[in-house]
Amino acid sequence: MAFALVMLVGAPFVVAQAPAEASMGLVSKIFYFHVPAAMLTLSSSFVCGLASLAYLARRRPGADHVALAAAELVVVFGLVVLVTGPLWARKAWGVWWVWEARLVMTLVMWMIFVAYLMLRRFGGPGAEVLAAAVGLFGMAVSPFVYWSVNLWRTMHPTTSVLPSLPSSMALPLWYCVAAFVCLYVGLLLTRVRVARGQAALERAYLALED
Amino acid sequence: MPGLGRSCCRMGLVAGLAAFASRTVFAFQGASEFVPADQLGQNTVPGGVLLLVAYAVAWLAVVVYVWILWRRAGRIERELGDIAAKLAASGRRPD
Repeated sequence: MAFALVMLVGAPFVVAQAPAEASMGLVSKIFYFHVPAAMLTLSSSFVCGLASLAYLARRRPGADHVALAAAELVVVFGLVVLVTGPLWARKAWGVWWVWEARLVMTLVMWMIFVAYLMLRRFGGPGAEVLAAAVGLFGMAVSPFVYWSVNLWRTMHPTTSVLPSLPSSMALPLWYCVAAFVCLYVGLLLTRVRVARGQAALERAYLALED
Repeated sequence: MPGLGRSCCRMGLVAGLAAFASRTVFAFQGASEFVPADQLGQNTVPGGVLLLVAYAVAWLAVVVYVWILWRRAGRIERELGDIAAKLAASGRRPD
């Protein structure tokens, strides 16, 4: 986690060396945080979905802890995507928000994972099973979020932009992706440890009552 | 139900922010009156400010989440310590 934070501290210095995009200028550098956060939002939804599937199949608490941690990280990284995107759009498109496929589907997916966390918080006993079904549903939506720019006509750039980047922009981007991945792994492991501690606490309270 | 009250406050805050954001968004949905050409260009936002806000939000989200995790872990550790002490006092061995 400390390594990830150090990498993230270095990210603005790396991004500062990258050239600005021709039509948008300085604001295009939002890209270097927006894209890695979006990648991890989608990846984390898959982690949550697969862990939920494993939990539904075998009912092992470890899988449930991973699903819960991944769902929280979808909400955290999704929030970064949903805030940095409109800041970029305001300069690039002249508006903060457009009700087009990519943006709406990202918002819907984010709200599904917020619903997952609300269910975990207030659902009472057995909520983890219902939440696992919601996690699966969230995972099912995420490929549509990714492909939406290719399937429908949207204002959002398509998925072909990343492979076309020159190395002067691609290298800082992949540095930021690496920093975000390290951060993601660190946060996921920490959150799983907290969930394990919470489960141990619940067992200890039961032992105290007996 | 103090947890529910806190969550309602948080949801109220998010709903307020969403209402403010949507008001701002709809303010930019097309023109509602004639704007002379020589008054155009007042709608420009400096890119540097947007960039700084974007990076600040990303950092803030991470820092707040790490702080929440740290607080949760501390509370769990404290409560586990208390229960272990109670179990030891009652002559039982904590697992």
